[in-house]
Amino acid sequence: MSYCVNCGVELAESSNKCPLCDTPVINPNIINPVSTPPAFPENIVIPKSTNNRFNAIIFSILLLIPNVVCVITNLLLTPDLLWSIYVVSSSAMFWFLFVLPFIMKSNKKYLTIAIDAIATALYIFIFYYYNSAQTGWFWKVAVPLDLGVFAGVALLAAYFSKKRPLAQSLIAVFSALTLLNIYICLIVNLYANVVIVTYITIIFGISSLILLLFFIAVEKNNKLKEWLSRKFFF
Amino acid sequence: MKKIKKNIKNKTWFKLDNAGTVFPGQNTPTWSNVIRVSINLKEEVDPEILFKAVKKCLPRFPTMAVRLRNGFFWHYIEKNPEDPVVLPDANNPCLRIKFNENNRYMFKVFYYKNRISLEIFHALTDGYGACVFLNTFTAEYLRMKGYDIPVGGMVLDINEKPKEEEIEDSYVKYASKTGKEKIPLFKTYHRIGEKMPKHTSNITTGYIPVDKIKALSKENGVTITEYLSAVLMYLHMQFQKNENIKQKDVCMQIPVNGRNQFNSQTLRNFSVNYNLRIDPNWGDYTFEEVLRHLSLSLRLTNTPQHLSVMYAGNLAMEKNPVMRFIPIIIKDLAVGITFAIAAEKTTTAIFTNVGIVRIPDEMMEHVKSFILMPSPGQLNGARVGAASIGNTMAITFANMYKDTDVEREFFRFLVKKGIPVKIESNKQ
Repeated sequence: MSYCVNCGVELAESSNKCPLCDTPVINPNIINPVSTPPAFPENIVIPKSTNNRFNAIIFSILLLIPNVVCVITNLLLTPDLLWSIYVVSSSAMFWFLFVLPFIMKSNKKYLTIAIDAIATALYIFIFYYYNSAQTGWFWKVAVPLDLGVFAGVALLAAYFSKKRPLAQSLIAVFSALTLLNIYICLIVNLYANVVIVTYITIIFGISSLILLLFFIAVEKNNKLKEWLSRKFFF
Repeated sequence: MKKIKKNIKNKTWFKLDNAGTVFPGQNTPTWSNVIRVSINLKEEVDPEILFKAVKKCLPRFPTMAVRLRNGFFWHYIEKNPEDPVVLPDANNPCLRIKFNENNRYMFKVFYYKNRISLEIFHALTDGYGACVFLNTFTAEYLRMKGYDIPVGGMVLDINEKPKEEEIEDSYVKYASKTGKEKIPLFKTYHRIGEKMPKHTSNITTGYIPVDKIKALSKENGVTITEYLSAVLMYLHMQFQKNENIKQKDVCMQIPVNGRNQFNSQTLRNFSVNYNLRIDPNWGDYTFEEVLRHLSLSLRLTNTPQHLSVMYAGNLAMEKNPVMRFIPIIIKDLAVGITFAIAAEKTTTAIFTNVGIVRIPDEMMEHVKSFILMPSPGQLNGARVGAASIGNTMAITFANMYKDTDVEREFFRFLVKKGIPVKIESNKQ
């Protein structure tokens, strides 16, 4: 029978330290302590996680059914009008964005982002090809925008692979939004001079730049941080 | 017209009781609201005999031998034809219950050395029901081992047919017809720290002599539950004071067994929680003042009339015609969101005391101690369960944080008051 010298509680025979304060148990009267089983076994059971992959495969099969029905109906009833391509491409787009990540065996985030970028470009291409192939907007606007947006997403994913403080996270997000805003403006204006996009870019860009500078100032200046938390605590 | 009563044994499905309706919605892939009760015997447990004993007892407990099903508007439980599962115990008890595992049973029976443990999903029963179930199959286990164990107290006769009053929803029976009360919610202080890895927790049990703690409580003119809850409340007030932050209310949640106030024999849920608060902004409190505050608040609030209006308040939601026709998927989502944004945020700590576990003297000869613990929380570190058998009271902390300072200060407090404490833990 041993007692913790710190807490004064009696300890189980199996304890070699106090569970409350981690003080080691040294009983000079017991030279060869008899080993008694601990109060709990040592093995830790980790329960199985939900089988998302199986559920995603079942969902994919279910998603396939209305698409097959649409294609057959289209080919049988209106073979000249290929309307089912929009249904199938929308379903495929949804599948790539929201179902495929659950089917992939390991979490390959950059591969997923690349697949999503290609799927989005192909989805837009279908609309372009069947409606306005002669204008060339797909290559001049859609592809650069698609690549730019997904490159930004990949950069943010890399940045957030480590846990960041709130202020740093906000700086990163607002920097990305400001750059994206300028990039969209450049791409759209290179294709066709759209004044409204320029105005939106200026308003949005200035707002996010102000917020960005504010967060940078807060992050750098501890006194300002302290003053803000004093003035605006709730 | 003559009413034909169905034999309960042949009844294949049951509605969940009023409290039980909320627990499936709270379930997450990592957390379930589980009650764990354990009995320490004087000899090593034989798992094969234990399995036979549990299986033999199941027909006596028609609301435990079930699996959970989704109706369109509500969950329901139906008779489970599979065998129950008896497993070796692990270092990390009270894992989440998944409805398609464990042969679809919502309870698990564990064995380790001399200990038999039962972990049961709160949707089926409360601490009292769990104690009766565990004691009944443990008594049967001892009978199978060749001992002569009679029935009585929390050991039911398994040859008897299940009684209608044991499966009733007592909330409905004893709810007030004239008044109802909703429990007010306040944001409260929490002693938080670094979380344990997923699916693990710190379990610490302190064994204390019942006569000594009873004498100490009597000296202060309070009950054991009031005294121990006040210790927890006082410690949390001290922690918050030392953290030097904006002082929030400290709120003790004390579940109350309705069977003590009403003539109910139900084995399903029949407890509600009292939330007793103290505002540290009113000034410094000594322990004696906290004890007086908690004791008087509990006595003032714990009346059959109050319990009755609390039941009515909880039932109002279930009886609401609009709520009844909302699909279960939306109800579960709403319960999950409410639980995430309120629930534990409104209580600082929980102290649940099932009281004296009464078993026949012949069974007592084979039993060393009895333990009750709630599952570790998602925010509250101090979720404490207590049960007494013979002259031993076991107080168990289920703590989701690495730091065990709440339990350390709690047991040190008792030691300083002259109560001997023996500690057991799952710490490696």
